[in-house]
Amino acid sequence: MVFYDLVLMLHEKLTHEKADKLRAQQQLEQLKARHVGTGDGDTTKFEFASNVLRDTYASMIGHPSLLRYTALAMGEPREKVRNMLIEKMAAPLVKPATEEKPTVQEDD
Amino acid sequence: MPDQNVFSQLHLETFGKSGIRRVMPGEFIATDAKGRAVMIASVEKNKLVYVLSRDSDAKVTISSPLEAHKPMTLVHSLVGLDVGYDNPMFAALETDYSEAKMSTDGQVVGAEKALVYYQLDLGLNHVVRKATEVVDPTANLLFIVPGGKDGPSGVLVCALESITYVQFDQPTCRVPIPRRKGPTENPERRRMVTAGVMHRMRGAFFFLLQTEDGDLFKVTIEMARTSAGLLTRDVACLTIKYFDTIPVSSSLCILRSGFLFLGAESGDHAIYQFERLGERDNELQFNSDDFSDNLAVPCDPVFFFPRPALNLKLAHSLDSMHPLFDCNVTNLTDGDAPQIYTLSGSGARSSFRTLKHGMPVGQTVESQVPGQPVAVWTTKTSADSEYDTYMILSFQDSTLILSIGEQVEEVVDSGFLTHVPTLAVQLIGTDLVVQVHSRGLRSMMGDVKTENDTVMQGEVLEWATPQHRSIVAAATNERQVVIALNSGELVYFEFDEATGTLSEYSGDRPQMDGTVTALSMGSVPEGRKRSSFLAVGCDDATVRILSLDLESILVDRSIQALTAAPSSLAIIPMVDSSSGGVALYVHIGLDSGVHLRTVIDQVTGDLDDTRSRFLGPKPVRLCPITVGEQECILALSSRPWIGYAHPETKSFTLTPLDCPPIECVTMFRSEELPEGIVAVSPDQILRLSYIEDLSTNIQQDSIPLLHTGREIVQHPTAPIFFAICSDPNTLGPESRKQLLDEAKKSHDATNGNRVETNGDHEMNGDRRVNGRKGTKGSKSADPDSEMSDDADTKDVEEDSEMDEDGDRGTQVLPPDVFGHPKANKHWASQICVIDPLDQKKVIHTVDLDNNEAAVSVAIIPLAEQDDEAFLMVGTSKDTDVCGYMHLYRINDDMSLEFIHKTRVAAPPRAIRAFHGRALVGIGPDLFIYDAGMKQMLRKAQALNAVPHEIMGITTQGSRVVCADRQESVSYVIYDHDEGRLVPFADDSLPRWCTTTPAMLDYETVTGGDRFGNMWAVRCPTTASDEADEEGGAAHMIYGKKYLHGAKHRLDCVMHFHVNDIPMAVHKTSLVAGGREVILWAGLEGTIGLLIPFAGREEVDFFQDVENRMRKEAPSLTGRDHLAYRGYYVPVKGVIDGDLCERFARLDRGAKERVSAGMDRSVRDMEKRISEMRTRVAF
Repeated sequence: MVFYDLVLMLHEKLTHEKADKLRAQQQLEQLKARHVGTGDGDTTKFEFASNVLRDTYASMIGHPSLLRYTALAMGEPREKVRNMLIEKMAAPLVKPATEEKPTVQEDD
Repeated sequence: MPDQNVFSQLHLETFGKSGIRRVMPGEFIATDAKGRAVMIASVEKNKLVYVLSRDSDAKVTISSPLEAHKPMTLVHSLVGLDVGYDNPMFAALETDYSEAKMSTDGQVVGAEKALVYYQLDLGLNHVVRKATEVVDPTANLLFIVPGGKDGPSGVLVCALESITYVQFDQPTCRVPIPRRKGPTENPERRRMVTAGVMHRMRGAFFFLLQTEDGDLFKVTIEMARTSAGLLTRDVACLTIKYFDTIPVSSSLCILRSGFLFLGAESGDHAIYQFERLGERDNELQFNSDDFSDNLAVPCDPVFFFPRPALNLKLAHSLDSMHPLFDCNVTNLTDGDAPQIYTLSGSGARSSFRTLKHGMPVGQTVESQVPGQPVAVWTTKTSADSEYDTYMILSFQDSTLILSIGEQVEEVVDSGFLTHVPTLAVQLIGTDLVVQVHSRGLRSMMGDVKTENDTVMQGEVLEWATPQHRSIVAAATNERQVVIALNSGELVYFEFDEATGTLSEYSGDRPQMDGTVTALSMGSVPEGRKRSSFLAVGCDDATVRILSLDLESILVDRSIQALTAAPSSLAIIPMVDSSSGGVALYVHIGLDSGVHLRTVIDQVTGDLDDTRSRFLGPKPVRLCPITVGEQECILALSSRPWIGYAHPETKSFTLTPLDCPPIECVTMFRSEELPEGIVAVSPDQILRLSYIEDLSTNIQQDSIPLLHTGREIVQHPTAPIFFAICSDPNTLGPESRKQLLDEAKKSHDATNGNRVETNGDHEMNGDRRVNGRKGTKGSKSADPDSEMSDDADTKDVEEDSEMDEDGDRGTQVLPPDVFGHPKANKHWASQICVIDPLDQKKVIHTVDLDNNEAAVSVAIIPLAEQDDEAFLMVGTSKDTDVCGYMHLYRINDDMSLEFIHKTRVAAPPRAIRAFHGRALVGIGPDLFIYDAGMKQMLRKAQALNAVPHEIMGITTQGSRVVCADRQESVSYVIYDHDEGRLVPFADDSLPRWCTTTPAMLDYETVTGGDRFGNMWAVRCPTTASDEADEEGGAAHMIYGKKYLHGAKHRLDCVMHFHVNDIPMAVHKTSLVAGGREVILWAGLEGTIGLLIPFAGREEVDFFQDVENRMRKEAPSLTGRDHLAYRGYYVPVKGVIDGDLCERFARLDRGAKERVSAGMDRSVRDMEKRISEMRTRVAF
């Protein structure tokens, strides 16, 4: 498989310079799909902030003492707070109307 | 393995190394019911499936992972379905967020929640997403339903106010979660299931599901029947009914023996016994037949009345300090060591706890004795009997003999001499009782039964001392007696089996250099005829070990010099961690109050591995006892201590006993108390007591509080604490009382007029009446109502048998089990005055109104008021809309008198006394306030002293250290001349401070952060000096800022991940005369210590131990130690003592390896490691 890839790459490199660029693009896409949250030059402020918030909520869920700390501050049972945080991960921010001038509203 | 009682690692499979992240599997784990596969899922996207199989040795082997990833999905819950021997199936509650958006009002739309089935095809070895089924969008938790022979398989999907039974390709059925009904309950509130357990029993099964209020509901699934009445495999309906209410749990477990274990979310864990299973009670049962299973149609609300438990009975509870909010170390009792006072628990399960180092002692009988005994013995009269016959009390000049039977009474015909003081009493051989008194030795043979059944009194033999000699000390065991004369001579007797009497050793009597003060001989080892060592303590501050072996009787073996004259000696074999078995210990009590423990070499008699500990200012007296058939030693000084092998580490531990001081003590065996101790206190009271177990050396005393305790301060002079308590989303006492009054009133009205049935009234008629109609019938409270503070008392009305619904409605249930009534955006808060010593309760309370919650508290001695100490409390109104500062005068009876309150822009989260005024942190600003007539008056300020919000303030001299919510600490200098506060140094690392920092010295502070780290930062000396110079503050104000911060930066000197959020940190000492240590208390109930090293050599030693222990004792879960302790920031300046102390638990081989590598003996290693702890703490 690897050998085949290599041959294909070489073939492409020799024949189509443009295809090479495309392939690099595809590989990057693949990497981005595998590593959730990876950004690039076109990442908007909204996407970036959403990712940060999702990471934050996931960390609060995953670290027991942080979850307890949050639950105690809210005066709610842990399970309820855990569920609430997962639900917030679905869409942590209000998407701004125009992508060019994103206005990040922190929800928490 | 079971005999070791430890977990052992069978297999370790690494699937992620980058910590706990969003896509790192590990948040959820589910196994197939038959143990063939396991699924591990992350919160987002990733799922791994491992196939488990067993090799020929029945060892579990694990496959490489199969992936079942799906991007843009979140998992809420994961279970393994019970599908018998079909291909393993897993069900996950998932949200697909690819289309999700947050609307402007904060609601998430477009995220669909579905139950997704994953099937592992064992033949093809791959995982498929088999099916998805849309479920309630509020669903949060799944429970598996037994399958195969036991049930219909499938899952229960728990959501907000509904429980749905879902089975692949089958119709669903749904029941609502009943709402609580009561005068203080909001009838609109919907509950969700937060924990639960499924239990199988003989072909049936049921679920106990707990809601966020703590109410347990019994959920059962009923199967359909054929027309002939036979059970089919189809589900007919789901039923739910109220079971009982227990504290909110994080996990429940039903044991086969009929017990329910409750892992409590806050406070003590508990074990309940099932008395009934909720059958044949008159609780209303709701059936899914009455409710539509259409997700679009919400269920009609149904109601139940909470009541005291009928089905569960509390069997046992386990102390837990989680969550711990604040902690204080102080010595209120004037004892030898300080106590730790903590605030722990949340809501109505909060408590103020006193932690004391000590072992609990049970007590059965106590009685007065005439005069002050100097020694006490018990003895049996024949080796065959199990229990003691006589108790002998020796006074200054006489002896009292008591017989032990049904009653303890004096006997006169026992044969003992009573007009002389006694030095020892011992049963020798089978029935020879020896009394050693100051003038000689009296041996009494047992009574002999003659042929004609008359009892012949046994023979009495006397051995008298030589002229002008008296006996000063004696040591005895089952076969030998040694006495010391005042001339320094030792006389040795041994039991002669031929004559049944004692015979004196005919050789020379050895002469000691000084006066003998103590003697001891170990008991005769099993299978031997004599104990081989005699320990002799003389007033020249030495202990000699003499041999008692036949070939070398009374020959000197070794000698140990001491710092003071020995007052008592005891040779006993004790469990020893270094040798891995039993070693012969010589315990030496000194006149100076020091206890020494040395190990005697069984062959040469050399003394080795001496460990000493100061017990108290009085001479130490020793008494060997047994607890749980383990040899222990009681050491009496100003207070009694017990020395024992720690049940887990087996290392020698000394713990004070929690009982009155003891003058003399001995072991006492009777039918009721097989391992009792009889102790006489200095006030001439004889007590029979017992030590139950050796597993705990910390005692907890708990005083219940009504709301979550947040902070405590100590009264400057009296042994009194002030605590602030607050609970969010909780109905305050005023509103509670008002609602109860209303209910009571309307209840009385209904009772008075029974004939007229009011359909609208909630207390009457159908319990399933729609909630909107009831509860808030009349708004006006009855001013003449006799309803007292029932809401506040924790007493339960005993009559759990309620005949009518009306009583159920107005009954006030204990809030520690049922919780306080909830109300959104309401705060319940109070200030408590606690007396932890005499009354052991909350003596005064002040309730805060105006929806304020106390956030900080301090004692402020006001210079303007002749240094009178006032209590100042900072509050937050309507969850941080604004803040108030309350000032209270502390009356002589410790009640609080409100003086005035001052409104400020933000809640004052930190208050501290400072030069006769109050230093207050409000938001990012620091102020100095003085008390005026009507309100607090601002005297000085530093705006933006910290970047976000001041969480804690500590001071020393004119220096103030403020802890920020996010950005570590800032140093501030107070300029007296100009009345200015000037920040001059801050930190370069963000630290989310949770503790009020503690000053270690003038330059250094330590604290803890929200991510579970402890750290210490130091101000550079130049900056520190500059700030204290004349006009330094002005220099700082106008000086250049450095990188948008203060002029100087702090250096980090210590950083360590402790894996618990530190909530309080103090610099204190824990033992009398011990060095100061840093004590911290964590949210999850941890009390930890950081002990300063005395020198470089010590650091090197422990660093070496830590390094080697990392290899020898890796974590059970495979977590790398360095990565763990440096989770956020690499470890700096701290050595993990917990890891080093695990040395004692290593097996023999590993201990040898570590010690050999360090070129030391195992004994030496253990001594150094344990001394590190015992020197400063327990």
